[in-house]
Amino acid sequence: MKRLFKNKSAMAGLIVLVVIILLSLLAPIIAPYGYADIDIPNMFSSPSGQHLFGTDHMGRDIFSRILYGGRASLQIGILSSLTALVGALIIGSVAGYFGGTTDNIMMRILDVIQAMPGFLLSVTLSAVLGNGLYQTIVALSIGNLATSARIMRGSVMTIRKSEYIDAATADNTNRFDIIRKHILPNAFSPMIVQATMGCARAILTAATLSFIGLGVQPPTPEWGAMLSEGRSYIRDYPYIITVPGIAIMLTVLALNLLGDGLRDALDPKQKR
Amino acid sequence: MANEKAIMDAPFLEVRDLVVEYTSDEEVIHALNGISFVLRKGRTLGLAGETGAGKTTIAKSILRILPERSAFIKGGEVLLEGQDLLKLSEDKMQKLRGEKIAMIFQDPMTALNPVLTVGKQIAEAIKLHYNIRKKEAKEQAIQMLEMVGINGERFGDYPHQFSGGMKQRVVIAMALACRPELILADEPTTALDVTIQMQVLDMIRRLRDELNTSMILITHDFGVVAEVCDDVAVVYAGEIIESGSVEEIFDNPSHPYTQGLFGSIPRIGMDIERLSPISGLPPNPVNLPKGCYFSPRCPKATDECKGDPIAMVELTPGHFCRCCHIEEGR
Amino acid sequence: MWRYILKRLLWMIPVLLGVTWLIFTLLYFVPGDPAYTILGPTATEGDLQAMRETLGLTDGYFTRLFRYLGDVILRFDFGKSYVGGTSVTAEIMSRLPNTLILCLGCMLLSVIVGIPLGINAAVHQGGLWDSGSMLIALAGVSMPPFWVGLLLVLVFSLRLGWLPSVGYAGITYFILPWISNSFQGLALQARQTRSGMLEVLSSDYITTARAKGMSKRQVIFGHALPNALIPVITVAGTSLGNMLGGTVVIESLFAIPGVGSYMITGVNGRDYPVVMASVIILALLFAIIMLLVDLLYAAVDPRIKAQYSAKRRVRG
Repeated sequence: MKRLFKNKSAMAGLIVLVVIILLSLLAPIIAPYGYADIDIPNMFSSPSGQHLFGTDHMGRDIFSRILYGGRASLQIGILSSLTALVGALIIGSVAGYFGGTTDNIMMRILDVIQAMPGFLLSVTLSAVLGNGLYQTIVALSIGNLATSARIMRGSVMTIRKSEYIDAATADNTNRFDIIRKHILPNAFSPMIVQATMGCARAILTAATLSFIGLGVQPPTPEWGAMLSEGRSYIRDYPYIITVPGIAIMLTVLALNLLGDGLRDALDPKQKR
Repeated sequence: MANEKAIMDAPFLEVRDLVVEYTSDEEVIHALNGISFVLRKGRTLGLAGETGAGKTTIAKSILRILPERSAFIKGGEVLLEGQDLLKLSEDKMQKLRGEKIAMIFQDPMTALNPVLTVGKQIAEAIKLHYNIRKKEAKEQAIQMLEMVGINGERFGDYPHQFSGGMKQRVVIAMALACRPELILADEPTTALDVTIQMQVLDMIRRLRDELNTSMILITHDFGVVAEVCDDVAVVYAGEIIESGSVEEIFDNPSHPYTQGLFGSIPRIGMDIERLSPISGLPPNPVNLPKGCYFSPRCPKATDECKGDPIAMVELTPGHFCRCCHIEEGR
Repeated sequence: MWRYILKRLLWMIPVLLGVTWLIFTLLYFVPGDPAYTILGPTATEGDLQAMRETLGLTDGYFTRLFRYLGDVILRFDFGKSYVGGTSVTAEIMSRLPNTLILCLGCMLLSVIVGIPLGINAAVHQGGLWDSGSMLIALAGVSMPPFWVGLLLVLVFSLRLGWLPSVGYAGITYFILPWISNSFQGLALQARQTRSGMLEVLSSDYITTARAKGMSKRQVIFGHALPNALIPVITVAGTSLGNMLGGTVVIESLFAIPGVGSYMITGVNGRDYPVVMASVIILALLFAIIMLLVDLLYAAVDPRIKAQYSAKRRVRG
C-alpha cells in the first residue's frame, strides 16, 4: 500500500478521479443550468462567463451537461465493474476450487462468451436488453466478468495447490470456509487491478455505445452521446466535440494511472 | 637475472583499489571499497566470502558488464597484462569479452536464453570472435559439447530440455569456446545438487589444466577453495580482509572473520559440542561502520578498530591481513 | 507442429457453433415483431400472421435453431434482410473486402509502429524517448477511437483539407480510419513491448550474452527481443480483438460500407438476420486472428513448440 502512495502518477490519477466523482455527485448543486434546459436563441455560443464551455445546438449549457454526463458514465463504469468483480470472484473461486467437470463446463461457457470480440458482445447484449442506463450496466458487466473470472480461477488453482491449503483441509475445515478465509484474500489483489481497468474499459465502451445510438438515451446526458449529437456541427463549432472527449479521456486516464499504480504496488517483481 | 624474474613474476591480472557503487531508490550502496589483489598466470584465485560481500561485483567489474544504469565504477584500476581495462573503449572491451576473459555464471537455470538452442548459443560465442563459416562454428560448438561431456547430437536442443547439471556444463562450454586466458567462475556449482557439484568441479579443474587458464573462482564454500584454488582472498563488505596461498590461509587464518568462518565449518574428527557461527549480520552497504567493517561482530574489537580505516599488513611473504590485532589473533 | 494446428482448427468449430447458438438465442428473446417491422403500421393482423409464417417465426425454438444452423453451415445462406428482403449473404460478401482492408491495415499499423516504439522506450529507459512515447501511449489508451477519428477529421479534413472524411473510393479514404482505429492498439503494443523488454533486459541470460562479447545492439535484437515478444504476442490477440470491435464504430463514423456498419444498421433497424450474420462473420474473423496469434506464439516459444512436436524429449 505504501508503494502505491509513493507512486506519483497513480496518486495524481486518484486525485483526478476523486475530483471527477465529486463534481458528478454534486452536479445538481453546482451545475448552473439544468441539463435539458433548451435555449434556442443562445445556441452555439462560445465559451464565456455565462456558459463555461459554451452551448450546444439546442442552447443547452455544455458545462452542466458535462457534469451530469459524468454521473451516467461513472455509474456505468463503477457499477458494471463491481458487478463483474463479484461475479468473477464467485465463478472463479468455484471453478478453480472444485475443478473437474464443474470447471470444464464453466470454462466452455466462458470460451464461447470470449470468442466474440468484447465490443461486439456489448453491442449484441445492448440490442437484446434494450437501451438505457441499467441495461447498459448489465451488458457491460458480462464481458468484463468473463476475463476476470478466468484470472480469478487461475489464482485460485495456484493457491489451492499450495501447502497451507493442505493444512487447512487436514484440519477438517469446511470447504466454503477454506475458499472464504484462505483463497479469496490472496487471489484478491489482481482482481482489484482488473476491476479498475475494467471500469476504464466500461466507460469507454459506454461512450462508444451511446455514440452509435445504443446504451444511454437522450435526454440523459452522456459524454459519448454528446459527441454523437455534436458531430454534424464540428466544422463551425469544434468545442462541442472537444470538451466531452476530454472529459472521457481524463476519467479513463485517471483510472488507467491508478490501475497501473495498483499493479506495480501489488507485484513485487516489477521494475518500472 | 632479476629482470627475467620480474617479467616472469609480473602478475597476469592486477586489481588496484577498485571502488564500485550502486544506486537504488536514491540510496547509494557501497559495493566495493578498495579491492586490490593479484593473480599470476596459470594460478587459480579463490574469492571467498558471504553472499552480498561483493564477489560477483568484482567479476562483473573486470568484464565491465555491471548494470549500466545503477552501477558506477568510481575508481581503481584493473590491469590485465599491464593494460587498464577500465580505460579501454567499449569496442575493444567487447573483443576481450568471451575471447580473452570469459565468465561462468552462477545460476544455470537462468543463464541460458530459453528461446535459442544450446548449440547456437555456443556457436555464437565462437563466431563473435573468429571469422569462420557457420558450418565450422557448428563443428567447434559440437566439439565443446563433447568436451564437457554432452552428446554432440544435442546441438539443436533447447535449454529447458536439459537438467541443471547439464545446463551448467553448457554454460561452461560456452565460456571456454574461445579458449580464454582468464576464467571468472561465479559460484559455478552452488546451484547444483551435491552429487553433481563434484563432477562439475572436476571438469572445471581438468579443463583448466588442459588449457592452462588462469582462473578466479568465486565461492562461499571453503571446501571448493581447498579442492580447486591455489590462492585465496577473503572478501568482507567490499574489502579484501585476508589473502594468501591456500595452504597458508588454511593453516593460519589470521583475521577474526576468517577464523570465524573456519570455526563454523563442521569437520570430521573435531570434538566439539556446538559449531560456533559468527554472531550478527554483515553491515548494511548503504551505511558502513567507521574503521574496520567487521568490528561490530568481532570478539576482539577495541576502540582502535572503530577509528581510521585499517590498512593491509603482510604477515608472512604473500599472506596479507587487514586487522590491527594480529599478534593476539593466533 | 501440425498436430497443434489441426487441434486448434478443430477447436474453432465448436466455439463458432457456440457463438452462433448464443447469438441466435439472445436475439430469439428480443421483444418485438419482425413482421411488423417489415410490413409497417398499415398491415392487418392477417397480413402480419401470414408474414410471420413466411419468415418461419411461428415454429418452435429448436426448429428455428436447427433450420438456421443448417442454412448457414450447409448452404452458406444467412437469410433475407427484414428491410427490403435483400440477400444478407450477398450484401456481406460485398462488404467484407472493406472490413478486411480496414482491419488488416489497423493491425499492421499498430504492430509496425507500436512495437519499435516500445523497444526504443525500453532501451532508453528514463530518457526523453521513454517518457515521451509512454506519455503518448498513455493518452492513446485513454482516448476513445471514435473521438480520435472526430479530431482527425476536424484537423485533416475540415481545416486542412488534406484527407477525405467519408466514403471509400480509394486508399486515401482509409488513412484516417486506419489511424483512428489503430491508435489505441498501437499505444497498448508500445506499453506492452516496453514492459516486456524491461523485464527481459534484467534477465541473467542478457548478462551472459554481454559477457560473450556481444554489442548492445546484438543483444537487444538477438536475445532480448525474441523473449520479449512472447508476452507481447499474448496480449496482441486481445488488442486485435478490440480493434475488430472498433471497426464497427469506425466504419459508421467514416461511412465505409463494411460488415461493421452493416451490423449497426441492423441493430438500429431491428433487422435480426443482418445482425446475426454480421456478428458471426466478425466472430469468425476474430477466431482466425486468434488462431494465427496462437500459432505465432508457438513458433516463437520453443517450450510451447516442444509440447506439440513429435520429437522425443530428452532429459540429461
